[in-house]
This record gives sequence, structure tokens and C-alpha cells, in this order.
Amino acid sequence: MQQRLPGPLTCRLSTTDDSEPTLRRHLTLLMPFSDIHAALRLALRARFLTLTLWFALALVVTTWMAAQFSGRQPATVALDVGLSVIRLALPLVIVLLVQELFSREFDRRYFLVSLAYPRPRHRFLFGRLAAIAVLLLALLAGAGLLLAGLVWWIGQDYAQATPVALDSHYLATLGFLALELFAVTAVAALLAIVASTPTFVLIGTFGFLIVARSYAAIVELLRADPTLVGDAERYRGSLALLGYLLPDLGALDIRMTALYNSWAFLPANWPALLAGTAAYGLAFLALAVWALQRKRFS
Amino acid sequence: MRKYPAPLLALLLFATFLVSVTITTEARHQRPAPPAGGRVVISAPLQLLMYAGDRFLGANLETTRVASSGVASGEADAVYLIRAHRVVAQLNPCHEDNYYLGNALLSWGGAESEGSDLLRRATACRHWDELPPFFYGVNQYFFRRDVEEARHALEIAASRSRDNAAALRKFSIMIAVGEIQDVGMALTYLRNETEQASDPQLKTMLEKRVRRLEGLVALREAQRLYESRFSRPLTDPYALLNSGILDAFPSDPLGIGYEFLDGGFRLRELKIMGLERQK
Repeated sequence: MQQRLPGPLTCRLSTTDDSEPTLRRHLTLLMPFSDIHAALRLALRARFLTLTLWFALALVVTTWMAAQFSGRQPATVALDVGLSVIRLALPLVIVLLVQELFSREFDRRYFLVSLAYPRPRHRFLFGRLAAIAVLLLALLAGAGLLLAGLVWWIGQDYAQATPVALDSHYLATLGFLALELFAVTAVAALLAIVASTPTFVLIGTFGFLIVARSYAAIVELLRADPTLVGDAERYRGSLALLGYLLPDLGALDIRMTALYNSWAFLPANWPALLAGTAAYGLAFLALAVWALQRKRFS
Repeated sequence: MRKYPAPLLALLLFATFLVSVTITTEARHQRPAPPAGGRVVISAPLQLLMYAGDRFLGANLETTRVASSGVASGEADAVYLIRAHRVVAQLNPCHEDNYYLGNALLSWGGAESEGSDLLRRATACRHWDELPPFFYGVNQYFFRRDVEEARHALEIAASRSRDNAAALRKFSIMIAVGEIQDVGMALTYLRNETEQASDPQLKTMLEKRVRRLEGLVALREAQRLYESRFSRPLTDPYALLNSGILDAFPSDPLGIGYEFLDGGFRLRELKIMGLERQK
């Protein structure tokens, strides 16, 4: 394991600072939560709050407008479209945060400070990821509350035949989404450590996301409508092979339980699905630790 | 001028671009609009990729498009409606607006098989909802006179219903003994739909279907009058004109028309080329 000991860098640090005792500063950087703290401050400096406000505004406007187009189930469509917006926006936030906290760190050579202390490098990785998790969970909880309130308000106008379930069904939907976001974060972190440009994090993560979310549903549609491509059976078979490479993120979308107030829409093998996705995310984290330890900074 | 050459040049080029856009759009406006048959409905797997694997978003956007973009009557538009509704049913068969609107527009617009297909998918997906099997049963009885299938669907509806179970079973028995004012019932349903429709375009579309059904009522009324006056069954629809009961056959605002089959009038179904029917 490569570790950098405090050397000339510490001297340079101490000369830049004014009042704070140098030793204390260095000790704080060795404390368990210092990485989280620094990462949170970095994210806030990168206008995370402005981003949150825009996201909330987009969520409110799209949800409300979508409800206007539905004749018989405005609250269901509102919840449906709102969840779609959350599911599209949060991976984007993940990419932006990972770019800010990993790629920029390497670009701006902040690692000369953050990785220069006598401690394993994975402490840095886990600290940053913990900060991303804190921000994302806060964002997810806030968006979930906002959407629930909005849907409740829209639902006041018109008594639907099948009301939406904003109770445990909704919480389970958000929980499954959180697990999906964990897997996406792990992939994005590995890409950020391995890749040499921040753009690759965006392209790679979204490519992974789109394929992992859609392949299972496409396989299912091809089974129902084999006229779509020539030799649909073989095409379907090779597409189904993707199931061994990527987690089935589309199946983690259990919003139908909340939309139609029924647990029957939960996939039959959901414990295995959850365990598999968690294992996939953890495996990518392990790879990220390994890649960071072997990374040669230029 | 010497100081800002690049921004000024950019401004000039943007102005050129705008002028060229104006010229091309004007040229496009002068050409006649393409027929509505060219309307594209992207297939379900491609929509999945387009919306990043989010089939619910695809279903919602497609339903919004159907509900807000009006269609005139005609075969080309019927094909568009059929395809759009079917894609939504593939993406999210539980979508309530889709099966409800699709049943009103397709089943009563001459494409009964496709409308019933939407209802069949909705019946399977919405395992608690009594409306799709009820509509499906009504379609089977009204359009196909398939009493067996209709009663089966109504039984499903009755088993799902808490308040209407008795009424649905009574309806099922009335179908079996053949004493039902089916056209009157269908007219009531369509008129209710028309009154509830908030979108003016949807209202116009539904009004045409109401008038089509009123034409059928007129035809059947004329047949009843003929048979009671001459006390023999009607075999040739033109006998209605010859005997002076009808001045002219009612015209169908959808342009699909009616047909006389097995001694009774019914709504003609669209014959659509190049569209496989799912039986």
C-alpha cells in the first residue's frame, strides 16, 4: 500500500495558514469525520443548494402539469411522473457530486493534501462516499416529502377509484430507489477513480444506468411482441445474457405498489433482488478501493 | 468596430442564420400539410431506451399525447390511435386513462378488437378493478354477441366488486336470456363520457361516436317498425327505403358505416390494412 508521509507538503501548508495552530489542523484531518466534513463543504461550495432548489422547482412544475393531463387518475399520474423525475435527477446529482468530490480532487491536485497523511487511502474514499450518501439521502427524503405533499394536495380535487398509497408502499418504493442509487454511486466512484477525464464519469454512469434499467423490460417486451426484430428469439437470448453482467435496476422500480396500492406488484424474488444489487454495489466499492490504492497520481 | 471584431462577426452570422431559418420555415408553410397517417408512434422497446428505461414515463407521455393532440376521423387516424394506445398498454397495462380513453375511442370508433385488447390487458394487470372486465364483457356482448365470453368477463367483474356485484350478476343473467336494451345502455355510457370530457377536442371525438350510435338506434327502430308492420323478418335493408319507413340511411360521421348481418344491424368494424389483428 502506498502511503505518503507528511513531508515538505506540511511545511507548505503551515506557511499558508495564519492563526490556527498547524499541529491541530493536521490532527483534525486525521479525525474520523474530517473527510465527511471536508467533502460536505466542497459540495456546498459547488452550489449543491442551488442545484437542490432547481430540482425542487422542476419536480413541482412537472408533477403539477402532468396531473392536468389525466382525466381519471390525476394523483396517480402526478406520483408517477414525480417519481420519474426523481429517478432521472438523482443519478445526475450523483454524477455531479462524484465529479466534484473525486475527479476535481485529482484535477486540482487537492490529493496532495487529502492523500498526504499517514493513513490508508480508503479512509478518504469512504469519507467522500459517506458525504455523498448523506447529501443524497437528504435530497431523496426531501424530494419524497415534497412529492407526497404535492400528490396529496392534487388528490384532494378528485376522488379516484383507486387512490394512491402514500404509506408503507411509498416508503418501500423510495427505499428500493435508495438501494439503486447506492449501486449507481459505487459504479460512478470506480469510474471517477479509474478514468482520466470527468466527462467519462457522466457517460459511463448514464450508459450503465440506461442499460441496467431497460434491458429486462426490453427482453420482456420482445417476448410479447416477437415481430419487432428479425430472429427475435436469438436477440432476446443474447440480451438476457446482460442479466449476468448488470443488476436488474428496472425491477427495483416498484412504484406500482404505491401507484395502485397493492403489494402484488412487488417482484416475487425481491429479497434476492435486494441482496444481489447490494452485493453488486459493494463489489464495485471493493474495486474502487483497490483501484485507488494502486492509482498513480501524476 | 476594430475593438470587437469577433462578437460583431458572431452577431452578423447569427442574423444570417435567423434569416435562413425564416426563409426555410416559410417555404415549409407553403407546402400542404402531410396527411395525418404519417404520425409516428415509437415502438415500446425504443421508448424504453429513450426514457432511460423508465416505462412509466413513456406510458404517461404517450397518453398525454393521445389525450391532447386531437385527431380527425378517418382510417389513418384510427391506425395512429390504435398504435399509440397499444404502445401504452405494453409499457404500463395498468394505466387507467389509457384503457378508459382507449375503450371509448377505439371500441366505439370501429376498432373493437383493439379496444378489447386494451381492456384484456387492463383486466389482467388491474387485478382489483371491476371496470375493465365490465367494459370487456359489454364489448363482447354488444359487438360480437359472444354471450359466453361476456358472461365470463362479467363474472370476473362481479367477483371484484363490493357494491355492484349483485347488479353485475343480474346484468349477466339478462344477457343470457337476451332481454337487454344494449344500444340504449351504450348510448348512455357514451353520452356520460362526452359530458365528462373536459378537453374540447376529445368532446368532439366522442360526440361523433354518439351520433354514430344514434344512427344505429334509428336503423334498429326502423327494423322493429318494419317487422311489426309487415309481420315478417327484414332480410334486405333496402326494403326499409322501399317501404318508406326510412327516407335515407343514417350517415356515420366517422365514415365507417353500418352493416346488416344475420338479420340485424350492427356497427361495421374498420378494415385496416397492414395492421395485424390480435385475436
